[in-house]
Amino acid sequence: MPSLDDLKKRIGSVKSTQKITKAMKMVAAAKLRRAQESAESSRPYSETMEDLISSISSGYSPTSNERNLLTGDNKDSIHMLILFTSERGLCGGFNSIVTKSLRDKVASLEESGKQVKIICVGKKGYDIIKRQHEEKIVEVVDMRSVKSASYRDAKNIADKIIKMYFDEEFDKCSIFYNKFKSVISQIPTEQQIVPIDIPENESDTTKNDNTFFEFEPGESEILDELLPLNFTIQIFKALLESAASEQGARMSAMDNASRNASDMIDNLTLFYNRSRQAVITKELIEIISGAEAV
Amino acid sequence: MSDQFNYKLVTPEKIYLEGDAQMVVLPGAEGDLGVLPNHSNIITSLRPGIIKVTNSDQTQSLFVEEGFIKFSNNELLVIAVGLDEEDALNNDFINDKIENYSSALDAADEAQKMKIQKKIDSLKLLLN
Repeated sequence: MPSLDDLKKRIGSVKSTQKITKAMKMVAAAKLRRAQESAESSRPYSETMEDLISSISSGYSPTSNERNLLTGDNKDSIHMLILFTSERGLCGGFNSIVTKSLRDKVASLEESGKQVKIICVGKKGYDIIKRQHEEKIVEVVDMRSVKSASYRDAKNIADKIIKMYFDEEFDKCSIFYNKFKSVISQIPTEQQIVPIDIPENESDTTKNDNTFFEFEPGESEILDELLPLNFTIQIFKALLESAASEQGARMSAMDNASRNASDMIDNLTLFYNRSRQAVITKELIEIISGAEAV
Repeated sequence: MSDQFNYKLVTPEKIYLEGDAQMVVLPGAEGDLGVLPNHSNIITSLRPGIIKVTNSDQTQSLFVEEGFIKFSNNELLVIAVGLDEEDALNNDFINDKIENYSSALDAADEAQKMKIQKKIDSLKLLLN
């Protein structure tokens, strides 16, 4: 049985841990609000972009076999997977869930004989997969110095990847990130961005089929400029969603931790009081039985 | 037939501006473009320049660096990158952008060089 002093120390250490987790929860809550706002306010842009691309692509068929970001070039041997994770830990299952979905994908691709390359955005994902797939990781993007992701950050990442695409370093590209649904729910999402996976929407396709557009300059020139932009936007969206999800995940993880700590403190205090009472009772018995013996 | 149409300017960060307008003048890639209600459906890219939104005698001017527009069903969508109030537009601001593009120019291949040069040229026209 631990001594009273030991118990007291233990209660003290749990209390100070709880203080830290509480503080982290508050910080995450404050950051979450900002991250959530920016993630939500960026959604109209990517929606408008999707709308625009589906208007163009519904009537577009590539004339040449040129490599482009819209339709790919029918090759399917090298897959590029981009993993978005956090830079810091203590955020519950945030990193491991999205990494697991990437690992499943890698396994299924390898089974069908494809070559896989991985880009890690965020250190935590790299830490998890480097043990198993180190040789597949072509790049780790360090986001530690970035406080909140800006369009410029997304553009830097996207430019690099687009260059790799035209250097024929990969044929298909998917991104893996946590989509922010609510504070307690983040959905690990896999999205193919090269070639673009246009969601088949019944009402949309009929609407687009009936509309004829003038293009200025030509259709392919517009696509040439639009597709890299779209790629950047998808990266940007993933960065923002991932940032918001991270804060949400951290907030609920720290909330759980604080609650666990109070449970633990309650139990320990109860145990401490009991032991203290036991010591007093024991001493009393000793005195009384001593007095009786006299 | 209404004399207004709905417009929406979006940037990667947020919806910058939306509402009704009587006329919007845009710096299209192949020349300025005035959009009035019931314009034919059009998709075009933008060069660096000024967007002017006119509604009931009020005109708002915005600087755009690059972007795309789509007009259909009396609705104008502008997808822009680098949107700013015209007040922010001064020579220093433009020179900064020109410098950015110029440094990109060295690294670019032939096809891209033309595009970047075009952008620099349109930016230079905005200098005063």
